[in-house]
Amino acid sequence: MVVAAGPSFADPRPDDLKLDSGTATAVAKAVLGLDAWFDSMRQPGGYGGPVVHWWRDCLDYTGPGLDWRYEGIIAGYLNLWERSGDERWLAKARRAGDDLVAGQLPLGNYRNSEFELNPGTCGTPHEAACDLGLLKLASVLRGIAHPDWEIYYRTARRNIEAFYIQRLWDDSAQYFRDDPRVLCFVPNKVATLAEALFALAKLSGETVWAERYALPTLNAVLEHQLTGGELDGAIVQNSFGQRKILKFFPYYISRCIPSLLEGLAWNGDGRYAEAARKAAAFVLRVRLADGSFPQVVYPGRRDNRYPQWVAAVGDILRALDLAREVGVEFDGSPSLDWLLAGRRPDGAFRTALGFGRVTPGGRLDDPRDDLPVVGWNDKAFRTLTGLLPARSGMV
Amino acid sequence: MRAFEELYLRRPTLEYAQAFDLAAGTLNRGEGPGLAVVSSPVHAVELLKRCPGPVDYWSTENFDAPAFVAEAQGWAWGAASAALLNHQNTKAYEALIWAEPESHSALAKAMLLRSVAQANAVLVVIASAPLRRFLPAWQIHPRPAQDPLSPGAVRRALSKAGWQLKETITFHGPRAVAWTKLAQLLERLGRPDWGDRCLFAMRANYREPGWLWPLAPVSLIRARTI
Repeated sequence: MVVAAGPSFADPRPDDLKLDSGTATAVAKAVLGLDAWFDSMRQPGGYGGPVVHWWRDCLDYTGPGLDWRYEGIIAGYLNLWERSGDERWLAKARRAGDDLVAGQLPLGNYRNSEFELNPGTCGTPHEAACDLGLLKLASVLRGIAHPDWEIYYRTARRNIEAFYIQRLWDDSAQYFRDDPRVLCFVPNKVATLAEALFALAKLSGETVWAERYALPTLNAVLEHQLTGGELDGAIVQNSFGQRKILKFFPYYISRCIPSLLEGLAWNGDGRYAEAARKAAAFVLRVRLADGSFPQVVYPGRRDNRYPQWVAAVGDILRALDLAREVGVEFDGSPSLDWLLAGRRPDGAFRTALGFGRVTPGGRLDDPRDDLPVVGWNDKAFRTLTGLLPARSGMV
Repeated sequence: MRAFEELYLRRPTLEYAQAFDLAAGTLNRGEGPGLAVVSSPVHAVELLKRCPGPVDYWSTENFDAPAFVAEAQGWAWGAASAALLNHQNTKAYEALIWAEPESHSALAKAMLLRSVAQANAVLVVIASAPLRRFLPAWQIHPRPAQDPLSPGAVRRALSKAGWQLKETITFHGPRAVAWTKLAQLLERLGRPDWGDRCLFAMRANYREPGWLWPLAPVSLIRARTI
């Protein structure tokens, strides 16, 4: 069944995007492969499976995780629905939203929302990413006058109010902490939250979410961006009070860009445009010739190149594409090729290259490289669905 | 915030997180309800987070199972029930977890657990050694146990009660400690890049063979009915 999509809440397709027919076919195949693979990862309660990450791996607990995987899954299925009009994609977006609704705990948090730290709750930025997915879904449903939009809206709003506002908002610092007991600020995490707050402001019509919370938080992100020198535009990973941790992850820096552009769209403040432009420039400056990115860059031209993300490069590409609106120009094809080359026979994308090469004396064939993780594949899914042309019949 | 909610939101350190992940994996593989014997609600909530299937919680000296189950409503992933166990019990379990045996009652409990275990049942015991004192879980209240029994003594008690010991794994042993210290040193020397590599190495060497239990804070012992 085909239904008419309402006002667009799908990710914008990059302006003037031209994919050769081979790449366009590969993208469409990859999208359909990911959809099938996601279905195979479903368990009672949601999408499950192991997690491998820079910080920690979660290989023993492989149950459902209500974490940032839902941001990309919901957004990706909404992209497909808007581009094809096929209601089965909307149904899958709703199924994912229903996982979050059912998994909301009495305090408003989501069950097992900590991704690599699962099982556990209060995951950041994971719960904000879930909220962002829910609010996108609610917006779409409201746009077609579907009464269930309020279920998703209320779930996200409850999480934002009960967790982020009541427990993590620091009124004196004017930003969201990463932990209620510690004065810790993590730019990329609050950037995801700022996106959710802007979405909540638009959906509810209440500007307080943007004005009182999102914009001050973005201003704090600006204070964590370096100006001048080899690291110009880089955003520090986190800070404890006045102490900034001088580690720079291209992936996480790119995750800050969409929220800065939301801030720009909200009030036209040129500082956000400049910050997004400089962040994108830094990410592009450290990009390697094969289109991949180093894992982390340190002062003094040092880095840890491995593990180099594969599936997660989808998020970087999407952020860089968004940054074109503030004048960033780049050739995305090397990174898109890097991403597409990571496709596995089962339809998923491999996680990374080089997990074993981080460790002194480590192995070259670390199995974590090839392990597909839902919470990384959703990044590839969202971006690839955003590249599909509308009504092309490819999906 | 209620005490139960605070416990649920508490994040365990990596030793206990990995031990409970492995233990819950055993419980989740069983067909019927699993049995959990814990000395504190601190550990019971870790099972709530990990078990989508039914789990029976057994009251112990410092753990009131009916009260815990009542408080867990809305939080438990799977069905949580309070179990009343004795030697006349007719229910037999395929998978059992015992977290932090208490010294004074360990042998009696090991025998009781043996009496309610099915043939080929698996028992997983999480026990801590004296290095536990460095773990945050033992520096705040409620503590995981009042009079904890060391992994070596647990192994002896299990054998005496008729359990066949299969394996012991220790967490955060000497190699992991050494890598962490080296990482901290390198950070101080201005080489965070090398420090991060050492932390990766720490994770890769986090689990050690069971005989190293005196040099690690937490161990997991797996046993079967003979």
